[in-house]
Amino acid sequence: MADAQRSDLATRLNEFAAYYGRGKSRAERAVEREVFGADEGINSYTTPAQADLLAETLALRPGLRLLDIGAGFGWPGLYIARKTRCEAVLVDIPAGAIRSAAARAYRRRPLWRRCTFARASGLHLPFRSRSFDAVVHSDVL
Amino acid sequence: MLKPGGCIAYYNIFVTEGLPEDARRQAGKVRPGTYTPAQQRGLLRSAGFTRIRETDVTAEFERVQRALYEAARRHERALRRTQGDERFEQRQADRRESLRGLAEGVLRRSLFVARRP
Repeated sequence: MADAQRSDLATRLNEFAAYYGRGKSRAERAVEREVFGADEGINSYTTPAQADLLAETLALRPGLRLLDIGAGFGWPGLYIARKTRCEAVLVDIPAGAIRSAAARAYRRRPLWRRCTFARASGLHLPFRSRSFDAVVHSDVL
Repeated sequence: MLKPGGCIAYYNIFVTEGLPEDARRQAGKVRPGTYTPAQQRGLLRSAGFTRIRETDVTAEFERVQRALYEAARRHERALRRTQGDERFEQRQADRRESLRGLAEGVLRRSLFVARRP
C-alpha cells in the first residue's frame, strides 16, 4: 500500500473511531429512517432488502455460525442473526463500534445469547480455521 | 476461517473495468485503493474460493447515495452540531464525488458471493 493510501486509511479509521465512540445522534438516526426505513445502526450502503438477500444467499439458519467483518454498530450481522436465528460473531477495529453493537444486541436479550463481539481487523482475525459457516462484510475499507 | 463448503458474501464499491488512465485516477480519488471486479475475482480465486458470482447493484447504490445526500441536507443544522462543520461538509463532498463517479460510469457496487471448496 502506498504512503498516501496508508495515510488516508489512518485518517478514515480515526474518523470512524470518533463516530462510533459517540454513537448515532438523533439526526443521524432520522437520516437512517428516511433513507433505509430502519433503525438498525446502518453504517454502510447495504439496505435491509440487500441484507435479506445476504441471509438468503448464505442459507443461514439456527445452529450455523456467521462472521461479520467491519460490523460497525452491528449492521448487517445483528439484523441477519435476528432474522435467521443463526449465531453471529461481529468484529470491527474501533472499540466504540464493538461496544455499540454489543449494547444493541443486549437490548434484545435472545439475540445477545447468540452473539459474540471482538475488536479485530479483517486482516488479522483471532479465530481458528474452519470456525464459520459464512462470512459477510459490507463496504469495508 | 470458513469451514469447507462455507460461503462468503459481501457488497463493495469497485472501479469499472477498462477505464482510461484519467478516469481511473478520478475513481482513485473518490475511493482510494479500490479494485476492479476482475481484480476482486482474481483475489478470491487465489485465496482458493470457487463458484464466484457477482451481481451488479449500482443502481440501488446510486439511489441510496442520493437519498443520503438529500436527507443530510434536510437535517443539516442538527448534523453540523454533532459532526462539526468540517466533517459534515467533507461527507457531503464525498457523496457528491461518488454520485459524479457513478454518473460518469467509473464506479460501481456489486455483491460478490464465493464458496470455499
